Amino acid sequence: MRLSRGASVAELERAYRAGFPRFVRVAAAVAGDEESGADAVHDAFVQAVRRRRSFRGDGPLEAWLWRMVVNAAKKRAGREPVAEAEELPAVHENGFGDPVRTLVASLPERQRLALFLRYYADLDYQSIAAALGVAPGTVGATLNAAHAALRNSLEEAHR
Amino acid sequence: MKDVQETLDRLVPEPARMSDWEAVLREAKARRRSLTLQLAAATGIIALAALFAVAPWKGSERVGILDRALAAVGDGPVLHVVFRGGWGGTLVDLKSAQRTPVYGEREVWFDPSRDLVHQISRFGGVIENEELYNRNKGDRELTALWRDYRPALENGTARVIGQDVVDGVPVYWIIVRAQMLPDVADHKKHEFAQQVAVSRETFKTVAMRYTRDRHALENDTEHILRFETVSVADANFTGPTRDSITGRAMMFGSQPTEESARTILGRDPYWLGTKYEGMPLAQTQKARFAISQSGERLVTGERAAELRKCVRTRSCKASVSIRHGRVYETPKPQFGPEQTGVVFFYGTLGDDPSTFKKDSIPMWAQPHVEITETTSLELISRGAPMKYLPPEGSVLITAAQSGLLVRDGIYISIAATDEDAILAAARALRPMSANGGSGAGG
Repeated sequence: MRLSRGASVAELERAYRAGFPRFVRVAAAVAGDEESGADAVHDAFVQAVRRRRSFRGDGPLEAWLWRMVVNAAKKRAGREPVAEAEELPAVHENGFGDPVRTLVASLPERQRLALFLRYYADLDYQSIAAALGVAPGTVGATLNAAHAALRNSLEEAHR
Repeated sequence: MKDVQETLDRLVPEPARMSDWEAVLREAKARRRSLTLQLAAATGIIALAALFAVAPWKGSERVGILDRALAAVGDGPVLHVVFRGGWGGTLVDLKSAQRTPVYGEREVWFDPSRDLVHQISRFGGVIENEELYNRNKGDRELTALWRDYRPALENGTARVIGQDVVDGVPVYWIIVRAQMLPDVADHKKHEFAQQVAVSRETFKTVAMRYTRDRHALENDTEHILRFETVSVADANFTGPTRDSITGRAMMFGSQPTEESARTILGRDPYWLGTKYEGMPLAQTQKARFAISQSGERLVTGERAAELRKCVRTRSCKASVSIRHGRVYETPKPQFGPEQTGVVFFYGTLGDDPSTFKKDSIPMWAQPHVEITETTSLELISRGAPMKYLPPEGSVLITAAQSGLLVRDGIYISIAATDEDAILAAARALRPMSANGGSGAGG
C-alpha cells in the first residue's frame, strides 16, 4: 500500500502566491476570460487545500496543482457560455493578431492547453502530461502540432 | 518561438486580479462543511441502527438528555443562532507582548416559512456586515440545523455518543445524522455524521461538527454561542438587503522613489530602512485598488423572458440566476474611485517565469518582510468589510499569518515568514524621514 505524502497548507500557499498570475493566464485560456480563469484558480486551490492529504508525492506538487487548475477551468468552461473565437479580445494593434488569435482559440483543447502549460507554467513534458492526464510522449507530439499550426499562421500574418 | 510567446501574451494578458489566499482558506473550510452536508442529504440514514447497538448511553438516561436538549431548543418558528467563527485572530500588545484572542461571530435569524435570513457578522464585537436575504444553497448548514436537529430530537433518532469538554464547558455529543457513504479517496464506505454538543448543565447547544468514522474533521468544530427557536415577534428581520461586492486589485511594478512614496501616501510612510535584518529593500511598489459593487436584482416581464431564453441557449452576456422560478440579473460592476498605497518588500527577488523578467518576483518562500501601507482601509482589506481596528500600539495577527496595525492614521499590513518576524517588524517600523530617510535597520 502506498502512503500519501500529503501537502502542507504552507506549501500550497507558497505555490499559490508565487504562481497566481501564471495559473490565471492558463485557466483564462481554457475558461474563456480572466474572470472565469481567476475563479477557476480559486476553486482549484480550495480543492487543493481540502484534498492536500491525498497528494501522493510521486510527482511534483506543481504538476498536481496544475492538473487541478486545468480541471477547474474546464469545469468553468463547461458551466458558462464559452467565448467563440471571434469574441476574444481584439489584438489588431500589432498587425498579426487576427488570424493567429483565431487559430490559437480554435486549436484543439489539448494543444491549446499544452501550449499554455509549456509557455506559462514552464512545465517539462512529464509534468504537462501529468497535468493533462496523457502519456508524456503525447505531449511532444501535441506541442509539435500546435507549433506547426502557429508557425504557418504567423508567417502568413507577417506577409 | 518568441512569436508564439508574444501571441499567447496578447491572447491572455497579464491578469489584473489579485491573489487572495485568505479567501481560498475561508472557502476551503466552508465547502468542506457544505460538501459533507450535501453528501448527507443525498442518501438516507443508514447507520443509526448500528449506532444504537453499540451505544454507551442507555434507556432513560439517553432519553432524558435528548428530552432536555429538545426543551432547550424551544418550539418557535424562527431559528436564532450565534456562531463563533473560526476566522478570528490574536491581538498582541507590542510593549507587553500580552495576547488577547479576537473572535469573529455570525448571528443568524432564519424564518423557514419565508426562506428569509438575517445575518450579522461581527469581529471583536464590532459589526462588520449585516444583510437580509432569501436563503440560498450556500446556507445548507443553516438548513441542516433547522431541518435535522430538532426533528432528530423529537423523533428519537438522535443518539448520545459520549461526553467531552468544549471551550471549558462539559458537554454531551449527540449524533444528529449519520450515513455510510463512499469516499472518493479510497472508494470505501465511511460513516459521515453531523454531531451537536449540548451543555451537560443547561442542555443548550454549544457546538456542532462533522465527523468521518467518528473522528472530527480538522478545525471543523463550529462553536455556538446561542441556539434557540423564537416567535416571529421576537425575531429580528430588519436589516439592509444583500449586495454582492466585487473587489479588484492591481499591483504595478513601478519603483517609486522615497519622495514619490510620500506623495502616493500623502504623508511620511513607515518603513524598515534600506536594509532590515540582513534583507535588502528589494522592491517598492505602488499598490492600486478599486472596488465595485453590483447588487443582484429581480427582473420580470420581457427582460425575464429574454434572460430565460439566453440561459436555455447558453448565450447570456449577463450574470443570470433563476431561483424558485424567479429570474435575477447581476449587472456588470461599476468601479469606484481608485485607492493607492505603497508596498515595501524586504527579501529576495526571483525571475518571473511568465514574463521572463529577471529579479522581478518576490520570493515569499524565503525569509522576507512585506509591508503594505495606505490610508485606505479598503485597500488593506482587499475590499472585504472591515470595521474592527486594532488599538494603536498593538498588532492583530490573523489566521492567515499577517499582521495589521494602525499608526498615525496609516493602515499597515505586515506579511513575513512567521509571527515572530511580523511582531519584530512591527516594533522596528519608523517614519521614512527618520535618520535622513534611509537609515539601515537591524
